[in-house]
Amino acid sequence: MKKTRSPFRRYLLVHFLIMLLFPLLILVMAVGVFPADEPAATDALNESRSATLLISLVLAVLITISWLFFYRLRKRLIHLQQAMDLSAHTSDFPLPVEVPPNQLDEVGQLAYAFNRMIRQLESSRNREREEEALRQKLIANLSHDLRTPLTVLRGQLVGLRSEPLGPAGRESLETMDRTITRMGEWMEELLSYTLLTSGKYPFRPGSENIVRLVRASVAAWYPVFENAGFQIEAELPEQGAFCWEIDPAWMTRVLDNLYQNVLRHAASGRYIRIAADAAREELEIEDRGPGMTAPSAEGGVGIGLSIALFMLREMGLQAHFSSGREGTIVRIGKI
Amino acid sequence: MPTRRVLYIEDNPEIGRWVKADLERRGYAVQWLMSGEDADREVARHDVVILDIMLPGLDGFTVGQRLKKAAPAVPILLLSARGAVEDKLLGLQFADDYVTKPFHPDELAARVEVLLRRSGAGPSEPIKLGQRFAVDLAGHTVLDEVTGEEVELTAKQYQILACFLRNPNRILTKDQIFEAVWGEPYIEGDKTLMVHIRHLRMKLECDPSDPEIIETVRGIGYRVRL
Repeated sequence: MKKTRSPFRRYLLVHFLIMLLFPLLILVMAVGVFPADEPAATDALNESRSATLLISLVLAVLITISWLFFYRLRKRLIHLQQAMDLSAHTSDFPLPVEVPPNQLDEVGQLAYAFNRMIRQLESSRNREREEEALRQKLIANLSHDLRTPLTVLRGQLVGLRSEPLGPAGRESLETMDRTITRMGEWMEELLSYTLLTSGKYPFRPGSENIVRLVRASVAAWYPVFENAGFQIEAELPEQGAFCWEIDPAWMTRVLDNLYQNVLRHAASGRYIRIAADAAREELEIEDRGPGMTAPSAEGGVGIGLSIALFMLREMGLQAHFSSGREGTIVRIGKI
Repeated sequence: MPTRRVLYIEDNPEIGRWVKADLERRGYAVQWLMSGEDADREVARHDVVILDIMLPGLDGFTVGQRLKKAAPAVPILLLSARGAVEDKLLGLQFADDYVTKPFHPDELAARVEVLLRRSGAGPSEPIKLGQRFAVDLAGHTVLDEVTGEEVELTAKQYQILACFLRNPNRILTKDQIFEAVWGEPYIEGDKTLMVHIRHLRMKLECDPSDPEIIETVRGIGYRVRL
């Protein structure tokens, strides 16, 4: 918060000056300005001086009391402000302010209200943490509880495969098998996204040769694209590799999700190009699918892409998508 | 070929039944336990362990650590319905591989086979390589079946070939092969590996300029298909 000149400080300064200067001025005026020539006049003058001194004294006492009052008030308010300021610099809430029993005035009440607010915030944050833990546990349990019956289903499908079935029956089995795989992937994505957004996904960044990492990732996916009838182009030059400060597991996951999207939504193009541009320090993944706006038979809510974008952002990277009817190009580079 | 023995620990009777039946159909001898309490006494008599994480009583992580202690040479494949990364990382501290449910039986069998091959409990019969070669991984020999003569390979050439055969049909990048064979980080531009592969091809390929056994995948690496 931008600090402005304290009115309390100014008030105290003015008070101090008045306290010092006002009695001095009166004294100077009483002693120096009216010289005493006659006895009657001298008496009147002495009375006048006494009255002036008395008034000055009373004024000085009043001003002193007032100064002390505002000085202490300012001191207590500063103490309270410092306690409140703590929350702006740390993620923890400030400790409650100690209020002595003899200071239960308006400022004391303010401190009490502040303490009450801290307790409420703490309780609210604890409740939020408990709810978050419960949500994660629920998703993890849900993931487990759904995966087990899916595995049982797959077992039944495997059993059915050995039974005599017509082409339509075999087609149905394949569809069911694909759906089971897809549901398993969705659950994994949901769990990963929950862990990511709650900061529970392990993150271990380091300097990584990105071309080498992409090459290993493409090597793992190559047979998958090959089986799906894709033409695969890898432009990953050995010379001129560059490094990014990333978590290799996260970057591999990002690439996995992007390749998975190409397989799911751009399989009709039967083409993928993965390139590393050392000069611009960029990665490019290009497909010849129907584009990102085209409806996809595979459906999905795009959790995989959200995970990829979230991870890139956390690693200081960004993805730029150029998509049209001729295909999509994803360019990944530093923010 | 001797039967490979699988110790399978799974508490779900339906999943346990079909996985056991599927693995037995593929030629494995499967011992199925529904809890991990006594598994450490059984593990030494098996070639590979398939372990479910969510078990009644002792959880899969604890059971896995005990099994690894009892028989460090027996590979463990974790089977789990939990997909959390932390679970995978925790599991892979002692396990050799991790499969998430709902897995496909072909994937499970393929991973078991890779683990067996890596641990040396894979098929003891020679592996057919191309039209004329047979590689005996246990005996470290490559036989030309046409001439009946052994193909003489240098230690590094054999290690490179064995690396391909332990990872059949997978594309291996140069740095993956280099690190597996030399045990050192690969330096970009280093031609050592390429030279060894060229010599290996000269001994194995009919036409080294058009290789059929050690395939080059442009811009990525090499692959040996079986």
